[in-house]
Amino acid sequence: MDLKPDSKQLELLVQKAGEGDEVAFGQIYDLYFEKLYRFVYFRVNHREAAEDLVSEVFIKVWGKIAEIQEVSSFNGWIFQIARNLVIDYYRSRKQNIDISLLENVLVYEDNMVDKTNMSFQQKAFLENLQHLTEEQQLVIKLKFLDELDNPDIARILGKSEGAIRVIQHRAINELKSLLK
Amino acid sequence: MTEQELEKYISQMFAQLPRKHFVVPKPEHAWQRVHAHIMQTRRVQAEKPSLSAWKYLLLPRTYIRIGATVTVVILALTMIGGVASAQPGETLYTVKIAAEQVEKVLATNEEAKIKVGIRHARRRLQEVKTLVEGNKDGKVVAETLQALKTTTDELANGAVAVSETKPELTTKATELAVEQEKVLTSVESNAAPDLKEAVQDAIIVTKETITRLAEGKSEDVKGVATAPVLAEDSKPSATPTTTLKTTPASKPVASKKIKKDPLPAAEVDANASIGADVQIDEVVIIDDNNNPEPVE
Repeated sequence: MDLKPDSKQLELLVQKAGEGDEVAFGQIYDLYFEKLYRFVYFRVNHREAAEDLVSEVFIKVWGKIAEIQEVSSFNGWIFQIARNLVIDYYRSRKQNIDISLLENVLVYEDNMVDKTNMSFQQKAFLENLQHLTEEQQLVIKLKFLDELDNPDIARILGKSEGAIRVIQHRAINELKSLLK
Repeated sequence: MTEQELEKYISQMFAQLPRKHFVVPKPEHAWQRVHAHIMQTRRVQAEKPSLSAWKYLLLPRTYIRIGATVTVVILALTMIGGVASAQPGETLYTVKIAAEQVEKVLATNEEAKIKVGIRHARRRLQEVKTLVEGNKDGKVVAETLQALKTTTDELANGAVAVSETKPELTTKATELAVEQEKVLTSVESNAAPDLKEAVQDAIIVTKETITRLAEGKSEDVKGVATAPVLAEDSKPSATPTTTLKTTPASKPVASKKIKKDPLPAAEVDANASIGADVQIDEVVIIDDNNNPEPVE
């Protein structure tokens, strides 16, 4: 499944969905479902809740898709909705959780067996990752794990693209010095 | 290692790390919920009436029609500055009256209704003054005087009804009625001979209104609240027990003065002749059906 549709394809789908084309919206759903599920699941750590939240994301998208002016921001927008719903999910449970901490949950196996099976390089990489600031880890994960572009990350985190570039640049430099 | 190489390395490392046990559920399950929502929104949209713009004005008296009327009137008032200063007999005056009707409809509680009534009564009074001073057509003046009497009557009914809960509004209405009497009295001297009677009529109604406001009794509850006052041995009742017929509030009453029958209102016979021993200072109003209405 191509998780990164080219901009023209996405533009066409968004335009059609905005006009009420359910088939086009279904295609957008297929393109984003897994990605969004992964994004949400690792933040709520609950299968059913994640599934509910993802369907809620698409319900919100359907309601607003006709208002989208710039399709280029669609990717960031849909993840922003997902992130906001995760925040609401914790609010509704009256849990005060720092979303940045939540987004730094370990997506990778941390049990002993798998750690033993990890190569030296992988172990070193994970350890070095822990030396980055929370913000740097978050940006790196959104970029390399969730495969989001800088404008999307900027939108999700409510920062400018420039700020994201700076955080990313510093994180990579930090990793560079740690990996020497 | 360059930055690009390092980025590639990080990307590879992330891809190769053993991921947590992670099962993506079947997308169809969540889609059912999304699809149900889409169907629901489609149903709601289908149920909405889709009429062309002009048809909204032909709809029965609904909120849509009221909304459309409000919009039209507001637009008219915004775009045409002359509407606010339009005088009776002028083309734009109908728009002004339509706007006032909308104001009345939008006034949902008693307080708002009275405030609107005060504002409208002031306008009518000013119009009468302007028309008489400008020697305008007698028919137009007479119609405006009639409108003034109706507005004053409606205002008095409302103000009396809230005299206990909102005495300040009753006071304002009384002040207006007093001012109205003064203005009409001064207007009377300038009025053309054929209009004098109509102006005098309006003065009488105004005086009666002042009396009603001062006594804090509503003319609309004829035969109900007044009966126990007049008949000492009768008890207050929520239902009309008299032979008197009530006059619809919207229908302006004729202001013929007659001597008041001394019998309690509950026993008044509308067809009975008036005796010579009645008090001259007590008056009742005769409506169009020749039924007496006691003013206490």
